[in-house]
Amino acid sequence: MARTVPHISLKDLTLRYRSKRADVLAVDRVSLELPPRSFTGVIGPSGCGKTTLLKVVTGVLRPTSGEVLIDGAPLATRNLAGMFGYVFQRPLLLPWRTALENVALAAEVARKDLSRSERLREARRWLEVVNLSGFENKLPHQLSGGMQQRVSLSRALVLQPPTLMMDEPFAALDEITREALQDELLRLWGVLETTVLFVTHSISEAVLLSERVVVMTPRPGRIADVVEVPFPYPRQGSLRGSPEFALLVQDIRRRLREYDSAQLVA
Amino acid sequence: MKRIAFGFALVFALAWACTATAADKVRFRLNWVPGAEYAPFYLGKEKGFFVEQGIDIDILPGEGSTVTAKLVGNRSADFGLAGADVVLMSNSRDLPLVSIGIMTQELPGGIIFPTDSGIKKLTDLYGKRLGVQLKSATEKQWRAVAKMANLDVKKIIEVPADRAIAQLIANKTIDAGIAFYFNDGLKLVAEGVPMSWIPFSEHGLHFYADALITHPGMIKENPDLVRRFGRAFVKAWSYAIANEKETLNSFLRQNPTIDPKYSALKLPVVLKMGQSPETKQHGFGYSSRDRWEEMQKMLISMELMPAAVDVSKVATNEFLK
Amino acid sequence: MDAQRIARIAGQVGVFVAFFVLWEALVRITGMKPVILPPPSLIFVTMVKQWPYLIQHTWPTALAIIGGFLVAAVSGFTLAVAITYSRWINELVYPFLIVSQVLPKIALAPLFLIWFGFGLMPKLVIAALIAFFPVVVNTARGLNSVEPELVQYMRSLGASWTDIFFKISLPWAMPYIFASFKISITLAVVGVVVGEFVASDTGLGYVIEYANISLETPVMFAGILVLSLLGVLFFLAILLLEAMIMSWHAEIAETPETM
Repeated sequence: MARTVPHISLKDLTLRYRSKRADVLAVDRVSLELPPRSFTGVIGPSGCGKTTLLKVVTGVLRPTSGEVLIDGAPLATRNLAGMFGYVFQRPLLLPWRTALENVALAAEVARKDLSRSERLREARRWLEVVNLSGFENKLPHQLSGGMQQRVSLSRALVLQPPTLMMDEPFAALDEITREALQDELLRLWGVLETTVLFVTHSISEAVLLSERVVVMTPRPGRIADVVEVPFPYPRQGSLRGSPEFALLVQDIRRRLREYDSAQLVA
Repeated sequence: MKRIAFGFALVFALAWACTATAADKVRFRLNWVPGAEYAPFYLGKEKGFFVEQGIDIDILPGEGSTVTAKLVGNRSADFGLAGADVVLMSNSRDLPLVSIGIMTQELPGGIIFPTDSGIKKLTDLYGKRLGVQLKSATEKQWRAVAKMANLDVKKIIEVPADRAIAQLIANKTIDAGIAFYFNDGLKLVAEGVPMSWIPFSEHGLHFYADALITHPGMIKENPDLVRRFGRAFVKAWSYAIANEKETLNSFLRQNPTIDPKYSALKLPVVLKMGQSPETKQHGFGYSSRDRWEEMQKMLISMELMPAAVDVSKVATNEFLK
Repeated sequence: MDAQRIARIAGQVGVFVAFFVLWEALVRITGMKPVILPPPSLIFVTMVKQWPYLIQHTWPTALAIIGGFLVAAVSGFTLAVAITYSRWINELVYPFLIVSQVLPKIALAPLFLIWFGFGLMPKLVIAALIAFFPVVVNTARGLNSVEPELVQYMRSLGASWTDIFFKISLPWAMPYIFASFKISITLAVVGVVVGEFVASDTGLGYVIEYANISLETPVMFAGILVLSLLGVLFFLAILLLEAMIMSWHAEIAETPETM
């Protein structure tokens, strides 16, 4: 099912919308290149347009001006079905479906050509990838928060999308679970051939996972900086303890403060 | 001089104390919403006939004879109005009530129809649509009348009409209806439709209608109050019969939201129905034991009463003097 | 059935028993006349004696309740879908809906006799009119509570409107829909009884009213008792249906707000 992984370009994206009180400039002239199979982190405080950016890239929101190019062609001209996998901050699983059925849902709506047993087989495979074998028949409320997010990730991956969008996926979890999932994502990304756009408000998370970190500032949402993360892959969780890691995180934090934004969680 | 003054003050104080406690508060429950058929009570109140008997009367609206019977039977009302048939039925079901006077000497129920419908007698109803309020006393009365007249009820098209008899006659859904002439009948007359009626009282149902009732406990504990109330009752109605116009105006003054045209039509009919050869002879409100017994027999045969009761305990005229 | 469950059920039954015992005691101590308020013992005896009569009139009432509820459920559901997915229908219809609900339909019952005639029709109409609103409001709320992000994502994967509606929105709204059904069925009972008071010669409402007029208060209460049992039965039927369709929900014991 693998498609070729495209090169995504964001050119001068601007999104302006009218709210109750005034015009809001959510995203202001954002330009960014996402090479195939790259891992890009986006950090910034609340209201800097991170989530809006994701929605524009996936075609959910239309930009006021500027464009998104997929392999050079505008987003609007492309068939986007199955192009993007999405992981939200909350698992958003259907409470009446088992883990297996939740993952299969993506295939049900996107791959009607497959038979039911084929869909379930794929779902089972991707649950195994996230280490949830044995939990296929559990209902969401029987799973912990971390497990539910893994199901959500599995659902995002089951169609083997070339691009994976992750919108603060670990923010609602406790620190131990969060670190476990970060480690797992590192391992996965090494195996998958996907471009990842990872939004977070945690500087250390962005630095740990990404090849480069895009720093955004709010009101209006603008790219203030793009910081390359020099650590080689495959990365281990132990990277968190290294002094170079800490320095880089400090540096980015300092820059953020300079850009006059709110305090971040490290 | 001091002694005279003191004596005077004492008498004055005593007299004042007496009058201060003498006005009995009386809860009087009608058996329907205020209407011209109760006008004499309102007149009596306004003219002070109750006050002069030491009664502070509170005229309360009702919702049917059964409800008033239960309220009086439960001592939630001191006096009330209820159909004489309901009085007998209550007594037969271990809810003792006493009728101390009759307000309406004949049943107001019958078959009403537009005058131009060509109906003259009961058999003219064959092939016609007759509105009936099911689950009501009038329905039971109709069945008794039909039986006594040997009517073939299959030839009459009965239409369940609840309380909408007047409306259904007006929009011609039914040709005739079973109702109180002075209610639905006169309502239509007031709207310009001449109405006629065949009263049940002329077809074998020689019932007393509205009775003034109280609880036997009241008679036992305070016969004087009952006597005074009875006296005021007779005075109010006798005066009303002699002074119809004044009664109407007094009623309308105290009940400004009620249609005056309809009330003006109703009052003379009601006043007439309070009178009979017996009342002319014995005074307003009089009832005879024989007729009560006759009523009871009829009710038992209509299966409205499970067993007979002692009529002497149910009705009395002694409080009407 | 473990001991704890038995104890709980016994307790619940006990509350009813205590209620009746208290009632019986009060009536006896105060010497209350049966015509005013009969004791439970007399009511039960009457119920047994009059059982055929009561059962005969239970069928028309039950039929009208089911009919009224079904009409309310189907039309309420349909309208809810319309106002959820069509903005202009929503804006047009909602104010009228609110006003029509505030209007006391029970006061219109005597007029229904004139408009709809006698028998099943007026009862069904009153029941449906009263029972309809909770279904609309709660179903719409349920449908609107679906997570929009999830829907957007599924859309981006190529999900059709029917996919979204049947796989996601409708099951999501089920707890709300069933909550509204529970309210609706009890309202349908009320509506039918009111209709029977006024516009019927069959049914438990008729029995109650007739007994009232005839001063047969024990029969009246027996009718009320049978009616209550009927209402409980219908409520349990909804609960059973809910348990069958939403077994997953019972486990979470999540209860959305009801109107």
